[in-house]
This record gives sequence, structure tokens and C-alpha cells, in this order.
Amino acid sequence: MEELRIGVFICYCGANIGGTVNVPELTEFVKTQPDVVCVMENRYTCADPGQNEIKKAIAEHRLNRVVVAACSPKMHEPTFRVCVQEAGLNPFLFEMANIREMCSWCHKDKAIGTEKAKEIIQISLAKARLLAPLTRFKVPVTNRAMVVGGGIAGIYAALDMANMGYKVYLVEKDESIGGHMAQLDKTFPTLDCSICIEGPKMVEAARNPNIEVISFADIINVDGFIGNFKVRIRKNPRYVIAKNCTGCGECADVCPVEYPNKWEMNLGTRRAISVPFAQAVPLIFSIDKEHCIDCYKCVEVCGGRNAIDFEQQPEEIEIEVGTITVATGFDEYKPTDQPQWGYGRYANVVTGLEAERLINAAGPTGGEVVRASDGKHPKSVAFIQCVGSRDVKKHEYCTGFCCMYAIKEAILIKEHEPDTEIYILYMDMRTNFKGFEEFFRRARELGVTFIRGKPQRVVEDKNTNNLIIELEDTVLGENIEVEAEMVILSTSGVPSAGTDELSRILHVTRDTTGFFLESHPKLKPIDAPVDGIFYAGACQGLKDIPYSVSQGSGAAGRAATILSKDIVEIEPIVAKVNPDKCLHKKANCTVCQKVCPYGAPSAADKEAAVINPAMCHGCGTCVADCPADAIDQMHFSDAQIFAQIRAALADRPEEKIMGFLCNWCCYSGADLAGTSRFEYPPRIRVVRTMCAGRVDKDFVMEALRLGAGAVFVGACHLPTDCHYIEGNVWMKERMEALQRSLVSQGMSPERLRIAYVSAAEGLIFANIMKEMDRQLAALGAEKIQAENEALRPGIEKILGKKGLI
Amino acid sequence: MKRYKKEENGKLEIGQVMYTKTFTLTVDRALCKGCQLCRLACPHHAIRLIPQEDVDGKAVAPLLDVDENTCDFHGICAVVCPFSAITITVGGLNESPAVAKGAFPELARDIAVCNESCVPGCTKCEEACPLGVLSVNTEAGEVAVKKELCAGCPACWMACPEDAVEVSKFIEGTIQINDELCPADCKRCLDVCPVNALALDENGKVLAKELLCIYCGACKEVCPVSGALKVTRSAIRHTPVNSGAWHKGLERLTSKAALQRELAAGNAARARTAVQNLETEVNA
Repeated sequence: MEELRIGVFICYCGANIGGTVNVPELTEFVKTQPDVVCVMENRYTCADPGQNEIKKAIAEHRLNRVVVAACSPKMHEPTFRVCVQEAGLNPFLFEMANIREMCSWCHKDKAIGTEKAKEIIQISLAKARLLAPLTRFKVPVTNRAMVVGGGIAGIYAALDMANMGYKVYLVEKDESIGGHMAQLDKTFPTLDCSICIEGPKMVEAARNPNIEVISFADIINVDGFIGNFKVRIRKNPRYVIAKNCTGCGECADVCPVEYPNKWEMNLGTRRAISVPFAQAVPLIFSIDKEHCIDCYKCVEVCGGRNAIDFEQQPEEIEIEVGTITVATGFDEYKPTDQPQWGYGRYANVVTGLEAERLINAAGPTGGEVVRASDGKHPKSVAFIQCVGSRDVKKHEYCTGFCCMYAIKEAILIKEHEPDTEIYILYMDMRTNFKGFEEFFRRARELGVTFIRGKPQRVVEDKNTNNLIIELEDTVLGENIEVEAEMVILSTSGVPSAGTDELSRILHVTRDTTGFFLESHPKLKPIDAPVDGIFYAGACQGLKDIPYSVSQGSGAAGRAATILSKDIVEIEPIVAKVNPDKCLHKKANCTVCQKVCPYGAPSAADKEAAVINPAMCHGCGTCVADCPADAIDQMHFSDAQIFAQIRAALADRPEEKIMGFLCNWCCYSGADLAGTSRFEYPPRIRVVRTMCAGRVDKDFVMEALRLGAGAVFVGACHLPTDCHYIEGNVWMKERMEALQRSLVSQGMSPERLRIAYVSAAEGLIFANIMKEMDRQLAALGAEKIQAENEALRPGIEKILGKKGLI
Repeated sequence: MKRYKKEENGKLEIGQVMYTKTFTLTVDRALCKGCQLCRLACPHHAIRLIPQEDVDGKAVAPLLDVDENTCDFHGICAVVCPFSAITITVGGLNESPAVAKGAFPELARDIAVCNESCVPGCTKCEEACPLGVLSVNTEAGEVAVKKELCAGCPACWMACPEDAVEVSKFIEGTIQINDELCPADCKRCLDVCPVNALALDENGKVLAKELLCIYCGACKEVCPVSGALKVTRSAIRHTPVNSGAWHKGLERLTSKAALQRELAAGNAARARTAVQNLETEVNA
């Protein structure tokens, strides 16, 4: 191994560091450290002169490791990586010692600050000695895209990408693209005809030479990673040959079988050979074999066009794409499990989408809003809002569009039958966004009655089939009853059927509501946690049309950032399996596959697991949970972290808190404590990991073996703040088990602290440090040492067995 | 959409109520004899026969049940029922969509009474008919015929002293009793036969009257011993049709061989017509 030549650059940062840390003393101290061949002080290391000094020193002293003791790595690590790279050094041979946010800014006493800074630099040196050069992975990009789901969001995503020049496969599970928007009569708040504005877009998508619409198809499997997805698709048989079908519909005319048309919300029927609706795109008829009686009347009438093929088989195709946009939308919630609304029991109770089909002139009643019980126009209609939404017993979320569609349907019914009395029974009318409030007023002016109150239940009058709604009018403060000839339930939406399976196939997580979880709720709302996969529309959370369209275009733009490149670079801080140690071969162990939210590890039968570096995000959860210690993480290796722990606890360990902080939340929170100048006792020594999921039990045990006063593990808040989806959850499970075990062996429970601190909670971090300081002081050094003595034999046995000590 | 099933006034009714129209299927329990035909004919297997407990030591024909969630209301079952026990309505109209669209034929029910030959005052045919098809107006000497109820047994023809009734079976076939397997003291098949085509001979063994049998298979449904009773349908006479659904139905009701015979006959007929047409053309 080459001789280590470390250069350390200590920054005054003006008075920011120099004010609280005695830099000259620090410099002299660092000079005494092994392997350090050059120590320099800079007024501002990050400024050009400072950077030039680093570059010069690398050349002059033949440095092969660089440590900058300055601010937080979250601030300037990228800057210095570029700097050392420009001087010819691998950027991963650089390490940062955070002596500003975590030292000079949070401690006032110069002697204490200097002592802590010395140790912080020692911890960084310990890691620096073990750094290895790494290369960013370069993967080629297939510049074709797939969009899953042909609703309005998917159509826009496909059209935008196609118009940018990329080939797009638009995969739709139903027979036609169009989604829910094609079912609507008019759209709020402008009342344009829905199919009139969507229809041309559907046709445009089908005609675009860059778009291949693959309808009536299912996604069976997706393999690969950003830029290189292999997708297997099953085209379901229509029993009609697409290229021969002219869409004339003569076959449907002769077909003797009718069955409920799901697309019409089962209000009307369709024939066993038919299209779900007249404007279907592609306009290809299909035969439903479940209902077909094989009379072949359609074959007879189709005649020479020869479009019907009863022998058609499912066809599997494989496509290769660089990005995937998921736009699978939502299904309307059917409140059959909430008997209080009478849906399914009383003929004249319908859902919002069913009402939409009744209002629609192309719908089963030809646009007549009539009652199912007697076919008459209702003289009074009541809308019940928030059915299945804003309800902790059902769906806690607000659907977001039912206030608006109820107003719209109310206005449309008023337009059809002006003498209809309309009541909208609501909890809150939510009419934010452009033109919505004005639309609300228009409804009031038209004479729609809005009654504020939460309906309790709907009862049917057996003689008239009218419905009586019992509710508490919260304005009057009394219970009232509203009688209506028809009730429309403004129901919520739920993730579309198949979302579960697709999430499994794509390895993308869903949130607690079942919708797809975005990579970051604010800054990456369109990105899936898996690189190269994006969301558009209601599959990520319920949305109205303009929002879905915007997100469709947004997703196209996000995808284009990848498609426009020939290669993508991937950070090399990935996990890697040592095949000799992996237990999959012998014991079929699948722990890594279980804990990885990205599906990066895989294992062939009787082979060791392999981690696909392009799919690995570098959280390190599998590394920590691997029962055989067969996995290690580049740049955050076990050896590096062990060295950091040992450096941190070399001197008076019982006074120290060994801290493991996740990069995204707790480390940033600790930085913020410094930035905010919240002072706290100087006990903590920090090891930064990308995710709390990386924190191995062994780290904690090693710290206690070395006599640490306490161990602190800081993570993102549960349940969904983790930047690696659920690394914090696995950490919690693992650490709480370890805590129980250590406590049973006599450790005071407060000596292993697990905390969830967000990047905004600097004060909370400082308060935890103060609290732990009090706890350690209360325990006293002697008790801590005694506890550690008691723990040590057990720990040594475990770590010794693993060969870690 | 709402689907329902109800049993009232001796009728089983299932329905599919939609905004555009309502579909219903009604089984008249009084007319249903628990035979096999509708169950075999249904392409969706929506019909099942529920075995019934004996009453007063007599076998009871199984009870027909239709799954309202599987039924598509196209009325194939109604068409094949020899007793017209099933009715279908679509949007209030009493029709079978399968027949209306030419996807299924009607059974060629063939019964006619020559009122001129009829002997006034004679009610033998009415008495003989097991299905209530005929009712004699003795004063006028006229016989009213409910054609849809006639299952084709020749009981009336046999009873008529003047040969005034003409009737023919629309299902052809055979019925065989295996004396070795047929258990003694069991006359379950006799209990359910709708046309009295089964009787006991002098030795107490079951005897099948081939002449009367309409091959509905009701007996087969209650026979406790497999193979003791064999009903084979070999052909079904029907109104002209050209439909795969009928061919499949025919195969289920009869046999592959019977289907092939019908197809061959159809081909031959078409060939004859083609030749005739050609001749007409040439002559012209």
C-alpha cells in the first residue's frame, strides 16, 4: 500500500472559527498526528486563494489525502471535491472536519472549543486514512420513454416527450385511453365539454409518430435502472385484429349479448363485442369472452374485413426505455361499506361520477337526470359532500375536487331542469384556485342551497322512494332533515386498482393512503424514490384536471433531463456484497432484499446476492442489517466508521456522547443548532452516515466497549421523512431491540438515545444534548464505567466472533 | 346497477336493474320439471340444480337456481326449456335477445289438432296430456292448444280415437335402463318423469317407454346409481339458424357426433341449394 500523505487545511473562516478555536494551537497539534505531512491555515479555505493553496500543496507535498477542517460538509464538501479533483486527486480521497457548525458556533469557551476541534480533526483523519478512490458510475441512457396510464396526465406526459423528439410507449390497461376525463360531461369552472377538449388530445397522442399507444395491456415486469429499464408487457387479446378493424360497429349491432358497461359506471350496457364509448382511442372493438356466447354473428357481418379472430392469444412484448412515467390515476370510491349513505340499497342514491354519466348527453340516459326508481326527473337533489374523505374512519385526506364537481353538477342540473331544488350539504367548501370561488358564487346566484353540516344518515321513504337526510345544521345549531328525490354522494377517490401490483413491480413505495410516494414532498414532488421513474396525475395523490395536466408536462420535463443525455452518472457510495460471506447461497437469506426499498439487491438461486449499483441509493440499511456482515458501503465502510469511533473515544470516553447522525435530517439539524448559535455541552462526537439505517448495532457496541458515556442515534422523523423511504424504520427496529438487550444487561436506558430530529429542529437537537448532559452527569463517571465493565465481556464476545476487534 | 334474486308466488326471479333498462329472468316453479336442458345449454354455467329431499317417500325433482351475478339474460335457457318454464324480459319486453338477434334457434314444437276430425264430447287428449297443453271445449268440439307448453310426447296422439292430433318430438334420442345396475325398490325416476315415460314392469323393474320419452333428462338427475339410466339425445329439431352459439349449445345438449351430423346436413343442404341456384341460372 502506498505511503499515506495527508494534508490538513484549517480554516479560520474569519472569526467564525478563529474566534472560538485557537487555530495556531490546533495547527501545532495536527502536525503531531501520524501520516500528516502538511498542515496549513487559511483565512477562508473555500475562497479562491484557499483553494489554490490546497492545489499547490497537493502537488508540492504529493498529498494523497486531503482533510479540510472548516464548515459543515453539507456546505462545501462539493466545492472541495472539485478542488482536489482539479489538482489530480480522486474526489473521494477528500474528507471534511466540521469544526464550525458543530464546534466553534455552539461552544463559547475557547479552550473547550479547541479541544473538541482537535478530536473532530482526529476523527476525520481516522476516516481519511482509510479512504479509497472511487469513480462515479456512468450508465448509458436509452432515449425512449414509457408512460403507464393513458388518462389526461399520461397523455400530456407522452405528448410533451414525443414533441421533444423522444419515442414514447403509452401503455394503457383499458381498451381506450382517456381516463376519467373522458367520462365527464363538463369541466369546472369554465364548463367546457370534457370529451370535446380531451378527445382531440387523445387522437393527437394516437396519431403522433413518436407515440406508440399500447392499449388493453398489462405491465408484467420491469427490470433495470435509470436509463435502462426493460419492461415486459402483455397485450391482452381483443379477439379483433387491430389493423383490420375499421371501427364501423356493425358487429356490435348484431351481437345478442349485453353486459354492464363499467365505463358507464354500470348504468348502461355494452355488447359482448363493442367499444366502451364511442370516442374510444384506439377505435378497435373487442370481444369480452366472459360474456360472448360464440354465435359468430359478428364474424358473419364483418365479412371480408376479416377483423375478428377468436383464436387470438395474449402477446408478450419487451420494450427498453430510459424513463418510466407512472400516471395510473384513481378509482372512484364506492361507499358500499358505509351503510349510512344507503348507496347500493336505495335506488335513488348515486355517486358523483354516476351522476356525471347521467348528466352527459352521450351517457346511458341521453343526458336526462332521472331517478332509477321511476325514471322521473327529480324535483329536488341533495349532494352530500366528503363521503369517504376527511373522515378518520375512512380516508383522512381531502379529495380536493368534490366541492368543485358538486357545484358543477348542481349548475348543470339547474341548466337542464331549472325548477330543480338543489341542496349541497357540506362541512367546508374548498374553492381555492383560479376561478373556483367565482364558480361557487355563480351556483349560489343560480339558487343552489348550501347547508353547512355533517349529514348523519340517509333514510328512504318506502312509498315515494324519496330520501331523507338527517344532519346537524352547524349554522343553526340544530338537527334538521332534508328531503330530496335524489341524493348524489360526492365520494372520494382511491388509488386505481392495480396500484399495489405496479408498486411491487416498480419497487416504488406508496404512502399510508395507498397513493404513490414522491421522493420529496416539496422539492421532488414528481420524482419517484427510484431514479428514472416519475409520477403524473392522481396516482401520487388526488388532483383535478389542470393540476394533472401540469404534472404530466412536469413529469415529461423531468424525464427529459435524463432522456436528453447519452449517459447518466451515479454516485459511487453504493453497497457491495462480499460473495464469500453472503448467506443466500447456503441459507437463502433475503434480509438485504427485504430491507431495500429500491429493489437493488437480487440473488439467483444458490448464488450470493448482488447489488445493482445503478439502483442502489447508498443508504446503507442493508449493510447494517446483513446478518453475515457480507455487505459494505463504499465511502461509509465498516472499517472507516470503526476507525472514526475509535478516534472519537480515544480520550476520556465516559464523558463523550458517540453520535451517529443521518445526513439529511439530524446532521442538518445539528448544523442548524450551530448556525443558530444554540450553545450546548461539548460531549458529542459525530459520525455522519447517509441514513440512520446505516447505523449498525456493532457501532453502538464498539462505542460502549470503548467506554462511551452514551450513544446517540439521530434520524429523520417517522414515518415518512426518511430520504431513503424507510431507513429510519429499520434503524428503529434494530436499535430498540439492542437497547432492550443492553438494558437487560444492566445499562441505564438513557445511555442509548434514539431521536428523530428534522433539519429545522436545531433547538431540539441542542435541547437533547443538554438533557443527555444532565443525564450523564447524574449517572456519574463511575457508574458509567461500572456499567461498561459489566457490558464489555458480552460485547467483546460478539464483536470478537465477527473479527471486528 | 342493482342485481337481485327473489322467490315469490311460486316463481324464482332474478334481475339486473340498470338506468337504461331492466333485465329479468323468471322461472315458473310450477312448470319447471328439474330437467337438465337449461343447465347444459347455459354457456356461462349460471344455472345449477339443487337436489331436494324426498317427500312422502317420493323423489322430488331438483330445484333450479340461477346465479344473478353470472347471468347475461340472453335467454338461451328460456329457448331450450321444453316446458317454457323460463321467461326473459329486457326493458319490459318479453323476448330472448339470443333468438331476436338470430344467435339461437327456437325449438321446432310441432303439435296440431284437426278440429274437423275431433269427436265432440271427447276429452281423451286433454286427460292424457301430462303438461296441460290441450283444453277441450266440449260444446264446440274444439281443442285449444298451448303450443309453447308442448314438450312433444305423443300421449295425446296415442289417446285420440280419431287421429285428430298430430304431434312430433323435437328432441330425438334413446333412453336405456341397465337392469343390473338399476336398484330394486327404487322408482325415483318414475316420481319425477314429467311425461310418465317410465313405469314398472311385472317384475317391479323400471321400464322405459321409448315412445313417450322426450329425453329431457329429469330422471337422470334423481337416479342414485351412476350408469343405471342412460339418456342420449341425438338430434334437436329447431328453426333454421346459423350460429356458433347454437352449435356449442347443441354439442352440450347432445354430443359431438350429433353436432357433426347437423353440420354435415347443413353443408349438404347448402350444396344442394348452390347447385339448384346454378341450374336456375344456367336455365335462365
